[in-house]
Amino acid sequence: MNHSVWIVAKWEFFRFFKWRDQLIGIVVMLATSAIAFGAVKFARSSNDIEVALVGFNQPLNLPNDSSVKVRPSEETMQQLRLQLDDRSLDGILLITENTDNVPELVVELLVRQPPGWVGEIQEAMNKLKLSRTMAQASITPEQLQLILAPQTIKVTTTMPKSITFADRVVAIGMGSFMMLVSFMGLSFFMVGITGEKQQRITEQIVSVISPQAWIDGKLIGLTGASFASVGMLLVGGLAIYAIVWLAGYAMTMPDALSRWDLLPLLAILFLGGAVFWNCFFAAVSSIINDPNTSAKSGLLFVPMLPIAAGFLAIPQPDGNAMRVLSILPGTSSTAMPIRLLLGEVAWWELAMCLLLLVGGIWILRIAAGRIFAAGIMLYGKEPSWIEVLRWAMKGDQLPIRAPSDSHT
Amino acid sequence: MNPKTRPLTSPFLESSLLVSAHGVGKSFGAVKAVDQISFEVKPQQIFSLLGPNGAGKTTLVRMLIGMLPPDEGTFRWQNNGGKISPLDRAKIGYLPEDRGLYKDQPVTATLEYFAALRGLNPTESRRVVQMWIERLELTQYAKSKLETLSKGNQQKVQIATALLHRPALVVLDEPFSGLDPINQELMVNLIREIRSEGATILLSAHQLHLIERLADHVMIIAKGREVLSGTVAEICQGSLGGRTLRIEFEQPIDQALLGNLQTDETVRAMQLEQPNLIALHFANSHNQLEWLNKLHGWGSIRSFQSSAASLHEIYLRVAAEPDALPQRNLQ
Repeated sequence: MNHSVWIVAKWEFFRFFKWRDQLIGIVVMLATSAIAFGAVKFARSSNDIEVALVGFNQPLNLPNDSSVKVRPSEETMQQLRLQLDDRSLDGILLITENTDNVPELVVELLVRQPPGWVGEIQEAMNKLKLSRTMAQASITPEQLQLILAPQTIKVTTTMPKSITFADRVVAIGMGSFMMLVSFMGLSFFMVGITGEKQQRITEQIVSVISPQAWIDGKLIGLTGASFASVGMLLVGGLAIYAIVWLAGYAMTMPDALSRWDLLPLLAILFLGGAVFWNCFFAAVSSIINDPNTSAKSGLLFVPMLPIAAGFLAIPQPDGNAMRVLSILPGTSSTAMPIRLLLGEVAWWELAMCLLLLVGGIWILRIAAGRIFAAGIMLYGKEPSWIEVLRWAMKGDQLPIRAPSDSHT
Repeated sequence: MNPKTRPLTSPFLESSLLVSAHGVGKSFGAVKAVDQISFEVKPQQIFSLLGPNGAGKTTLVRMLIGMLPPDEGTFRWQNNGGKISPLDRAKIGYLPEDRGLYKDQPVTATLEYFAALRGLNPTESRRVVQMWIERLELTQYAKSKLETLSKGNQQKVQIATALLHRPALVVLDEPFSGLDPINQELMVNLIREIRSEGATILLSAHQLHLIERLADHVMIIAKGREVLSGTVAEICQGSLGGRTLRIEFEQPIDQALLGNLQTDETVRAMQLEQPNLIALHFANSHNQLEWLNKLHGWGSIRSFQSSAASLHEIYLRVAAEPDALPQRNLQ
């Protein structure tokens, strides 16, 4: 590959991916998470809610770690109201027994403002009501458990692996990763090409290197910057997970995350999908004169639909539609990884997917290079679709390879 | 930029190549942007391309530097020994009319990027960039982002990007546009310096007073065709040049007299420049005295002056009516 391509790639990568800013972002993210968790912990440990229980002698069954403390009180309502007003008490729980036809409890909670902890009182009262009703109906706890238990269905899978909820979450995460990379690519190419057109940089560069070398460099540099930026977000996410884990809220890792054998293949599919759509972004960005007024700007969001279509593979990874989408370039970068994780992919499907992806990238790269070569020199007006199609098929005014490229 | 403090002889640019265009043409659809243009730019010459907007100058320049393929004709180099070769675009430095740089990037990084694109290795690139930063008096802005620089300093950075690789031919499209008179003067000096260091310069500009001072050779094009070519002196003294006689009267000129004035074929044009000042443009100086006597009867003459036509006057004339020109090349 032409040496100029790598010079452009390096330049574009570091224009958009700035280590210092990214690290500052992660540090801010971690600090915010730590502060948030710290604040929750502190609030839980220091703010016990004190509620006076009036008219009822049985203890309420509150969770052990509940911050709500209910204490039976013999004081008069007037005394308790005074405590409520001077904030030494958070609430007064009045429970009386209705002895009409069906004995039931009448519960009233007296507070200054509607509290956030009323759910804990509600839960305790539900349990109390349930135990009283069971006693009245002479139902033992074992009988109750039997009544409430749902009918179990034993699911037996014929495939060697079964898909768990956690696996589906991982699949959604992978699709989201691809969406994020695509959004990053879109924004980078808008700034990196339409922005350059607006700043009149293009002619100076094209006098030095060929448009194809320039777009190739941009494709490598900006795709790299997209992955690096999303990668840093993942690092930030993992760091937050570490904080959650340290705070004692650790979750178990889904089995899908242990499929290291798929990693190289997933990397190729993600990278290929990103390059494929970035070729499209490059071509469209080069024909937009002003993103604020151009009707063609909306076209940049079109790839989001096929990328999102891959998510349809999650409920039925091996359905006919998904088998097609996982092979076609443009949708394969989300559909195929999800199928690899959740379904069964035949070797020929994978081979065809990779072959079409490479072929698609090659064709789109050449077409994008031709559109880019003509589009970047068009200031003040936008070409018609017929012109764009003509450029894509045959190229136009600019030579694809400038003689100055030979110096490298 | 300052000729008093900067060395004029520098080994950075060198040229012994003659650049030529032979019957070059280019059309965009039905519009003939450049029509059969030929010219020669001699080594270390400042060759100026003039013409109104839309004349085809930028298209011609873009073809010369290889951005556009010509529909017809060729561009060539010719070295000392007479060997002819296709144009080597790596030896051309280009300052486009539509120009700009990465405003969010520092000056040094931008220049090093262009140096790398031009094939300079990192060590050489740093040395050359440093040299140009010092030479263009940008040292204090070396680490500044371009957006923080004045327009004049941004222009200096822009022209440096075109000179980093020691080009033999420097093509400058509207190098003075957007510059104040001080920075225009700095640019004039820089162009002279790089020419004296060996570069051949092809210049397109609208500032005719600067072109008169700078250019060794001028070619005026209009509607894609060459309409006039030669040195400034040749053009101004040639058949399209002639002389201009300005007569200033004590009183405003009577409109009735002006309306009845019959001019002969020696008067190419007549213009009332002020109510009491009339200018007569002659193809040569022969009839001026006769006309001075004729107009003496109009009133008391305060002053009169006979001068050679300026490049500006000739440009206006040929650019307005390119089809009416009798002669194309004065060489």
